[in-house]
Amino acid sequence: MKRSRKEKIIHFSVILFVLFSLVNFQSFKSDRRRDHRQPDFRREIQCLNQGLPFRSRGIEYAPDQVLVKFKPTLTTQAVKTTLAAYETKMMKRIPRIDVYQLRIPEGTTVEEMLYVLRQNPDIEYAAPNYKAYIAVTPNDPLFYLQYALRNTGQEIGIPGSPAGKARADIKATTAWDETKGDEEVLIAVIDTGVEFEHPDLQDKIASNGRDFVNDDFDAADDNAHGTFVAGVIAAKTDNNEGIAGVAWNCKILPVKAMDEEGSGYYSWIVEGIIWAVDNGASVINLSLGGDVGDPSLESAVKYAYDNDVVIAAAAGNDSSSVIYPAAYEAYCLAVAATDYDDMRTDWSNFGPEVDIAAPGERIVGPVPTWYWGPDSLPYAFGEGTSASTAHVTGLAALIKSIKPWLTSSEVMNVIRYSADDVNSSEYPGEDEFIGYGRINMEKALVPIKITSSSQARSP
Amino acid sequence: MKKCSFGVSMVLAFFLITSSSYAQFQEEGWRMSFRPSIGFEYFQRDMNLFTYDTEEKKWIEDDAGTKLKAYFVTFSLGLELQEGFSLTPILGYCISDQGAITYRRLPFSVELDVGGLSGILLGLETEKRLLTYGNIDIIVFGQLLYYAGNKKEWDIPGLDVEGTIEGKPYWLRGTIGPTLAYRGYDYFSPYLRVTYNRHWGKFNLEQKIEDLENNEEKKLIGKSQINLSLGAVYELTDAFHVQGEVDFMPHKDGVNLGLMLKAVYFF
Repeated sequence: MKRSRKEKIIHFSVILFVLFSLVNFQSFKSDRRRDHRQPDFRREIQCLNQGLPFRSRGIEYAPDQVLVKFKPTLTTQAVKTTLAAYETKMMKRIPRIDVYQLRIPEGTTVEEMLYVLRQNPDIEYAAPNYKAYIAVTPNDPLFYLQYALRNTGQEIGIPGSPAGKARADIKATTAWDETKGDEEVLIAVIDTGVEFEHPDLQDKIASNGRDFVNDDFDAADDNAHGTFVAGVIAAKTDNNEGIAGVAWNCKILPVKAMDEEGSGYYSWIVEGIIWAVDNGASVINLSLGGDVGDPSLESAVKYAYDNDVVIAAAAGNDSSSVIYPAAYEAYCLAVAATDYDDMRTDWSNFGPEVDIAAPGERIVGPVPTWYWGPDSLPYAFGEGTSASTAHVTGLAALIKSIKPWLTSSEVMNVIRYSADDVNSSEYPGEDEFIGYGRINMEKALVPIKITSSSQARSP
Repeated sequence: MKKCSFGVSMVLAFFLITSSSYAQFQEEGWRMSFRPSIGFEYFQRDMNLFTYDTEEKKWIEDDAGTKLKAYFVTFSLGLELQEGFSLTPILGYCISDQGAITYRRLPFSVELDVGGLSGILLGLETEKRLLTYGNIDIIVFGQLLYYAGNKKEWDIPGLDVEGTIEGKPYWLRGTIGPTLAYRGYDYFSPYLRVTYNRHWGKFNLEQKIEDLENNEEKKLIGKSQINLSLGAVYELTDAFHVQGEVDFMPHKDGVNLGLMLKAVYFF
């Protein structure tokens, strides 16, 4: 019994239709199944937020609301009738874009409501009322003064204090979404020591360290500079106390190589660097320096470099040439200072050795509790390439936290190449004032998105 | 190791099918006919991602997976060596979208979400009818498909210096399992196929930014290992058949889908 060609084609079309319907039905079912699993995602998200990227929280939206836009041809009366038909309640209309915020009927899920609404040809679009999040913002009460970490153009101090330029900062809050540091990463602060009992540092000190000034193992601070620098790098953060540190979770290894006057022999610094390397430091902060080079000092920084320990060193604050050891450019990152407007400060040293810059003017940091006396907060404003260096050290520690396999040279290059060339209008490219530019933690740490619109070519 | 055993099992299965047929050839002799065909296939597949840890020297599973989507056009030449047994070499053009994959071992982490990447597709398919019960044929089906994407290079935006990343995706899909085909209708043969299905791929990236050079190895493995196919062959004429198939690949987090359409000419 032979059928006609026409009949065959009709039968074939019916089969194709059934197959495609199966695909659509399954797709719809799987979408709904995915949506019903949302609570599980939220549980995972809570776990992920304890140290993992913020955006891994996943998609969340209001469980009883949808946003709907009707086609412009629809009259207001028709819209009302439609809303009533779906038993939705209008919560708000956003007039400029003519979008309705609707409360959906009880017992209906957002997904079910959206499915129904999207079948209506009079509706241009219907979507969940999604949740957005600000980047990680710590609750430390003095964080609002830390324009270096997040600059909103706020006044930096009491009313009437200078205000910065919004976004003239190192993009710390976005970078903290990626990492807040690893407590296994030790940051040696070779300075005047650190106050161990400071409320913003007491849980952040890895050990009592080493004191090369008094030749003992108690690197307590008798000056304040070291405590200040250590706090900028890694103050205890999100603890409702004081300031936020750049590297929240990393630990400080105090090394005292400067005396109570803030000066120290090169031999103390040299020994301090070598001791820090041998005692597990991943990053060394040298907010110090001298005017002359010295082979021992160079050997010490080379020792650190060869052992994949990153050194950030201050360029100096005399508006002259870069001091040592920062001037040993092959082994250290020489750090210059910018201010709250992303301008180079006029006191920041300069020269071809400058690699990078970071905020160094009007920086708030901790000082020892004895510094102001018992009735004052143990914090102070400070300025200098010391503070700038502390920001760079914090960034280096965060990079080491998530990529411990990178060599010191690679970490230094990541910091250099990710900088914002904030003086490019005057000095495009690398220059002797701010090097590659002001550091950008977001670019250094957060994955860079490469999309189909990124320039691509066949190699 | 897993990849190796999978490959070996696919090859063994293939040879089992062909060798059993070879015995029949000895008895019945060769009776070759040709079936050129053109086909279109689409599938999406949830994949687990693994990154090679160069220190630990092992693959570590990523927190997040990806969804692989592929569209391809195939040209194949089925060789019916005897009634009920065929071998079909496949050549095709494929656009494969690996989804968004984050590479965190490079000096600068990147999230690569570049959409479909074109490449060639090579494959081999075999079918062997094992049994016939009334109107039902029981057939064993096997297929190997290999996609090799073209090498591509992308600029890394936003850095102080010029930098690029370069990568070339590829994957291998192996399928083997029984097909139940109903032959009770004149021009229409619906079938149901349940197959063991493995999908394995790699997408390594190499980053070059001035003197920073590094690479990261990424492995993709399909979450589902079972494929349920519903399809039908329709005989428009004695020499011209069309085939449609819908694939369902269930796994613990959901179901993946596929669709295949094929036009076959017999001579």
